[in-house]
Amino acid sequence: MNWASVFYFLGTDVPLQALVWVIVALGVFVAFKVLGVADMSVDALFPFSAILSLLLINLGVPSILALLIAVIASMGVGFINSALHVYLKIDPLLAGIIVMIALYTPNLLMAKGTISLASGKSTIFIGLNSLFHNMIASKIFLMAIICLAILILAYWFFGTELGLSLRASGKNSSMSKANGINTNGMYILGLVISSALIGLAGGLYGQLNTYSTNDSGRGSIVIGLAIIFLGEVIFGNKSFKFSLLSLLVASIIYWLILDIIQILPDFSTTYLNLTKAIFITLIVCVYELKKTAKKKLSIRKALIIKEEN
Amino acid sequence: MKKQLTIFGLAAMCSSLVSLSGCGNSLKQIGILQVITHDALGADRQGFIDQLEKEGFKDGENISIKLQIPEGDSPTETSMANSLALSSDLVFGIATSSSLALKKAVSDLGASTPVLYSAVTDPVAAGLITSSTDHGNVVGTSDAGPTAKNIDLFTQFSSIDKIGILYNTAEQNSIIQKNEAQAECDVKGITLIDGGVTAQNEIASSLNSMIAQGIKGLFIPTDNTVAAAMVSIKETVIANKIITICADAAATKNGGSLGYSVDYYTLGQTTGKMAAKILNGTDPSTIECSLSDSFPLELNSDFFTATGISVPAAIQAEAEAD
Repeated sequence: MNWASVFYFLGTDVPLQALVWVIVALGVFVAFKVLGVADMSVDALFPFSAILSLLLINLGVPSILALLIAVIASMGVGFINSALHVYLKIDPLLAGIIVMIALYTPNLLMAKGTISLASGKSTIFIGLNSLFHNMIASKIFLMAIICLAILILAYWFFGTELGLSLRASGKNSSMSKANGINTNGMYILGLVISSALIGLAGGLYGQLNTYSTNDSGRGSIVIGLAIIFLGEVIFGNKSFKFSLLSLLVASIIYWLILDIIQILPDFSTTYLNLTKAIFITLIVCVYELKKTAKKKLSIRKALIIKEEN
Repeated sequence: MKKQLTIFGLAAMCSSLVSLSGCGNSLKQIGILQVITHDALGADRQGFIDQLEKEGFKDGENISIKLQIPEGDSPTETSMANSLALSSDLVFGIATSSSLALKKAVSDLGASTPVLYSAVTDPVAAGLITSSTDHGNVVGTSDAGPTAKNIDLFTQFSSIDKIGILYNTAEQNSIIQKNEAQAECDVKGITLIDGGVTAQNEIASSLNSMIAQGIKGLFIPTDNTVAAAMVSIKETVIANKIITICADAAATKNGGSLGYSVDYYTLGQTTGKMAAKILNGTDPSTIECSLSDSFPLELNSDFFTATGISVPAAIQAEAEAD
């Protein structure tokens, strides 16, 4: 690889991957950080939406409508996931795992292993390409617009009364209940929003790649969580607006590092998964250490003030 | 502190990039993307590399081979495909998803880099090519197994009227072979019991349930999930005297009875021949995509000694010839 292709690769692959996975990270963020549940259904929901949107296009549905239907179907899955907890009293972690296992079958029925875009059919990106005449540029351009819109929408929504109640019910459920917030309703809403975001990312990913397999979502939740933690390590836990922005930057850094690892001249891919694991451990480790250090610092400050008095 | 960290990070990044630029040279770059570490896929790759060497293209001398294995992780596979497509003069995808990822990466670049594929059972259904002669810059070999020949083997043993099939329902390759097996069984008047699984840990119970339904034979297509678990079903098939026919030589050796198999090494060699032609200047669109055409018969004598079933003379002779 020479300099030009190294930069070209990093300059195209990193933003493209980062823009897809920041949406996943935002979805995981809503479930994990706002609601406080690790939603395991992500790994199956991601390919579900990818496969569904490709299948609909192959059946003749316009690409943008196919994406929309895939997102709505994902919201339905999110509702089932939350209903398992709210109405059937199943532990949230287990509910997510149940949905993940269950989704395997519809994915299989739709994709039959691997699904590819039928020849002559168009995705939203191919549609836009008639404007740019450069597939990669069209992809990055459209993805950037969608991501920006989603982040702005998320910022606006979590500032509304409804969004604030959602955040409050995740932070302190009994306090919120006491203040008259319907916490069950908020739990359902949160997971539906989270699933819609995962579904959007999955549908976009399917249309970006023009193919999808049943296994396409393997490891999605890990990538999402890694991006969230990386964001907090770099930017700290300041404000909500800031944490949304930090997701985007963290997603870019995550893919930049992974892509650089991949193109290192003598790096054997045998070590790829271990390297990833160490990388993620480091992120979370630094995150936790930073938290402890902060606590110690504030205690010491308090002691100094006490001594001075 | 934060500034220092940023500077350190940038410095680390720059130094890694400097080491990257060292490998830019005039050798023809060949990029190989193999979806997962696996015996059969590895044999395919080795056949490809060995054949290239036979035709005068040696890694490190006049070509440079870069191998990437995403270990089944789809986002990583996409990144690897993008980087290989950018830096290679020819790319080679092993198995369906890797081949699709490379094809997509090359077409996104608007490039016409030749894309070779192998170990893809049905390249037309997967959307890799339109037909074996109409395929543009994508060309390769498919590993469709000799399913009909294998089902026919069951009829050489007396009293086999009900057989089972063990495969992963998520592998497109296996589903195709299951349908072929069903069609052949209908012709031969054999009942086929569907023992599809979704994970390796379901194999034992699926097999036991098929045995309870009275199968006398077991057919195992070229299925990655089941192939990896052959050793674990060996005891069960021997104890129940079930003739196990595998479409994969390694699976037969590890726990099957016999079977015509796809020879992945030969498949890789055939793909290597195509690559050599392209490197010598042939336009990839003029090369015809090929099917696997040599199916050696593999016989696992351990099974027959352990069960006391005698091997029909015709089969014995054919296996010795192979």
